[in-house]
Amino acid sequence: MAILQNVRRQLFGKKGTRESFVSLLPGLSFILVLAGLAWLFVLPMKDQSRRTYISENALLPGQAHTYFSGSEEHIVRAFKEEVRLLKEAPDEKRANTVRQWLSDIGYKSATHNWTISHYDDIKAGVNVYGVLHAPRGDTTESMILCAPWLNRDGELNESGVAIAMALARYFTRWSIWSKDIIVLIPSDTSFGLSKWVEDYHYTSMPVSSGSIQGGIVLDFPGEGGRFENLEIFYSGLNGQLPNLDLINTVVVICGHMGIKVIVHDIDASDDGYENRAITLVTGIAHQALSGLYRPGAGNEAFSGWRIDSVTLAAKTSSNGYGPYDQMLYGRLVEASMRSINNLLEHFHQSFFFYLLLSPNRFVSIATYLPTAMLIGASFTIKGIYYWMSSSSTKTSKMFDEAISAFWLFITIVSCSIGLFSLSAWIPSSMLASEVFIVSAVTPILPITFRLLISAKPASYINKLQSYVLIFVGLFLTTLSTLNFSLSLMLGLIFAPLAHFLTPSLTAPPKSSIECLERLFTKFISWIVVVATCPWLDIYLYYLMVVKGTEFPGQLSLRTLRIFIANTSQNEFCEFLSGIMWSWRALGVWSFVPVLFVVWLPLWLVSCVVVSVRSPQISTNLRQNGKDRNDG
Amino acid sequence: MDLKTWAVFVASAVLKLSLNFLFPSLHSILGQHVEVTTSMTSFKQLKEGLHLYEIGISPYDGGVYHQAPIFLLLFKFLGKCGSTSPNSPIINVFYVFADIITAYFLCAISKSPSLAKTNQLADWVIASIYLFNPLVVATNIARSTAVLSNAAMIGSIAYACYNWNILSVMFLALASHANIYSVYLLPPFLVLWTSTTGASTASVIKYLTLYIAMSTGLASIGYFMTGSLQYLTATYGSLLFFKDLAPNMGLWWYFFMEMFDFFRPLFTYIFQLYSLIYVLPITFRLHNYPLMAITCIVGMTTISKSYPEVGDLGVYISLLSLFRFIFPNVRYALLAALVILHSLVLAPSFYHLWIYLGSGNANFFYAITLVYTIGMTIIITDTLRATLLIEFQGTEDPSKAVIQI
Repeated sequence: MAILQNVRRQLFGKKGTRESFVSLLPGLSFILVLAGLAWLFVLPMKDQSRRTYISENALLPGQAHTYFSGSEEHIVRAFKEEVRLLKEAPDEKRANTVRQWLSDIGYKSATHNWTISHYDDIKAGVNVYGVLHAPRGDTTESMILCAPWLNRDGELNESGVAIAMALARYFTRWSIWSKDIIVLIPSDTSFGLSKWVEDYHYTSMPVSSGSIQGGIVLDFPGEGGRFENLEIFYSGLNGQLPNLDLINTVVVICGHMGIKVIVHDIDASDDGYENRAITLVTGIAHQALSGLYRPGAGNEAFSGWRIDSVTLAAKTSSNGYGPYDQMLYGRLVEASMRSINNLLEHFHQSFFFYLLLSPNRFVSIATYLPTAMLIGASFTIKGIYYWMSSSSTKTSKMFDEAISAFWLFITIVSCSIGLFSLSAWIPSSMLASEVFIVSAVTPILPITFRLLISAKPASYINKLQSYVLIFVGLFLTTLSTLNFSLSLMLGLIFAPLAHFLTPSLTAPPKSSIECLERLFTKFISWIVVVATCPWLDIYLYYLMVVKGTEFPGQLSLRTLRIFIANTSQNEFCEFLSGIMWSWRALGVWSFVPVLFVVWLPLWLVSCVVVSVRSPQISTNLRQNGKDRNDG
Repeated sequence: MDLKTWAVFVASAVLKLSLNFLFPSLHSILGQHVEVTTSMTSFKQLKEGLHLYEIGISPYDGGVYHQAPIFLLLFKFLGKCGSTSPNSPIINVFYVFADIITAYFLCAISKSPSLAKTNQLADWVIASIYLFNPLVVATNIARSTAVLSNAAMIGSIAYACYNWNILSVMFLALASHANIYSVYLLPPFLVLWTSTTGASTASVIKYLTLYIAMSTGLASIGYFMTGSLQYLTATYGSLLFFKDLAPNMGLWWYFFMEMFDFFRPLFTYIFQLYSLIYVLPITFRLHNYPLMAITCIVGMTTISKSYPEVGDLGVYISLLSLFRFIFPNVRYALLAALVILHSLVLAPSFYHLWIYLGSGNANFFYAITLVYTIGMTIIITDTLRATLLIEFQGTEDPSKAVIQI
């Protein structure tokens, strides 16, 4: 023990164990953020990732011979001609025609009218679907073949729908199906499709089947019928991913057929560190923001219902030529459907939590989770630090302070939730006005806080910070198990608020250097607070990512003004209402509620921290003197 | 009872009623959460049992209803007065009232002759620690019948503190009729009766006889209602032998899910023995502090019982709030609070991953129940240590006499 005591004295000097422990916490917390960030860059290294493998033996991908070729091509061409004729047709007519096709082929078919509305903002459409009851099944299980009429870019999914119809016809001639086949032609990839999935599970549909085990979404626009490579879309809503076995199955089949597969639009033929890192980061961005403001690829709609699905998007080159033709694409779908058909139980064998580095490399949860967990834990530790460093020996005073800081925290959270309910409640057309008012109010918030809230001692401010940091830490750790990517992104955005924020200090500066230092920390605090303002960040995201505006190379007021004003109010309003719709209709809870319930309170508390006055120095000195006398 | 306490009572009633009014589906959402209710306390199953009873079928047929027969009588009566739909006015008022009664009992305990000697929190603080505890509010809104058995338990403690031993015995019999684990409180109650009143052996035997008679009487209600003793296996049997294998916040379900069937009897005995084994040592060690012994046993039972729910933790924390004099000696409050907080937030999210999304599995949820248990263990050991420290200081320094509570 004596040795240990010696070591302790060497390390911490004469401070007590508690003080020395507490003094370690901020450093530890900051190191955790750095470690989390560093770990992210370790992930794409070759030794950290694994090659994918088929885990479920029943799948047997690419083992069965595929026969969708030869004269079937005439059928595809004929359907393509028919689809083209319906291009301009109204929804109802289009749906009834497609429904007739399905009936003629021998499917039980039905149309599904859907409407979602919020005041005068009405979205509606008609989906068509048909069910082929499995010759060897008992209609308890089914798999889905989905070809949205319009694809994710709003283009007519011409070849996709035609191939789906031809395959639907071709499938009726096989007696091997042990699961029902649902052929679904939704009107679009987002609201229409997700409404169909919702109604399939919640209401009794005229034509129905069993639980859906897996799904393939076909996305093949254009009339040429040739494609350059195949992109797999797999990110679901709220961070959900399909089982890795489904992606592996498609990748293996593509390997057999010699089709080039890409994920996240990144060419994987060069399997270098840089390529893997870019794929990883793009994948994280896709997972965090999927379904948010633009239509997804189609597979999103099935996530959250225990339906594993991927979108197979055939990418055509600009001149319409490519090495592969539509029949190969059809055979790919046929082989994938046969693999799903082979399943004896629901997809479960392989990973549900993974990050892809290339179509056949992945990082599993055990390897990547530390990134988000370390960053999440850093907030909790910093919160514990603020709590422990602000607890004084005077318990009653501390208790009162803790309670009143808690009330302020609760008030701030309730206000944020109130703003959230308001935003969800008002018509879409008023969103832009609300955002305008809120952004106009935001700059005067610090002044308001300074005037409204009476001077607070540092211990009070520390209590407030500790509540919000523990809250954020708790939230981020929980979120990292549900939506890793979003947790990581938010953690990185929030991290400066936990580490670079300095409240007003009570004691007067002792020297001019200290004075300068304080000015500097104050400056940093303000920069951090401005940079993490939710509205500003969303607007910048909109400008730079959605609109693709270049950030001005040389900074001047004029270039900045042009940069900021590079949008019309209508476009921005559209973007905002898209985000609200994703919460309202698609149930993407992982952005809008999170923004209002976590980000906004954290930011408001930070605003309070930097703007609240410190108590008058004179009274403070007297207080200190009294404390010393007491001691 | 001062004005502030009454204000807390009214505020809690307003909170619960407005939550139920504003979010009419909240009770069914919470009622489906395995953390909040179990098959031993679920209101939904109570209603099914009640329906079977009212149409003349034994409610214990079919293995749906596992709760005490007295609840059937009670809710049949409530149904006569209004309706038994979980959001009907009568049920709302009844549950709000049950919680306020419990809070009133807690305040009464803190004012009791033995505890009043020590420095106590204000009544309104004690009442709000119970009434505004999110765990208690959730249990109440989910209409768990644990609300009622907890009220009976706290009531029996309160009456024992005021020497109203007959009433105390009756309430204890009611509590153990609804939740058999309340029997564990009998040894510390014996200490409480003898220490506060100095009751003679004869009167203690009288109380015990009354307890047994009362329990038998309550148990025979079931016989007269259903005409057979089958209900014994459906209620106590499934609680003791863990018949209804479903996930909950406890340690049992995962073991019994993984276990081969022929091991079940052995491990049932071991698990039940584990929950029982703490009772006598705690009672003997804390014979100077029978109330603390009761609190510790309530805490230990929360960990080791077969169907625990988070409301039990709420009751345990409220009981702890009565011992203000140990607070300065409590060391790991922040740690325990953080562990419990994290486990309570992660538990529903892991359950969601496992049951609804299918991307997680049972291990996720079980891991979190273990963390929850660790958090509970930290609180129990910490408060136990703090109490023993007080006792030690009392014997070291004659000026600080042992506080007898």
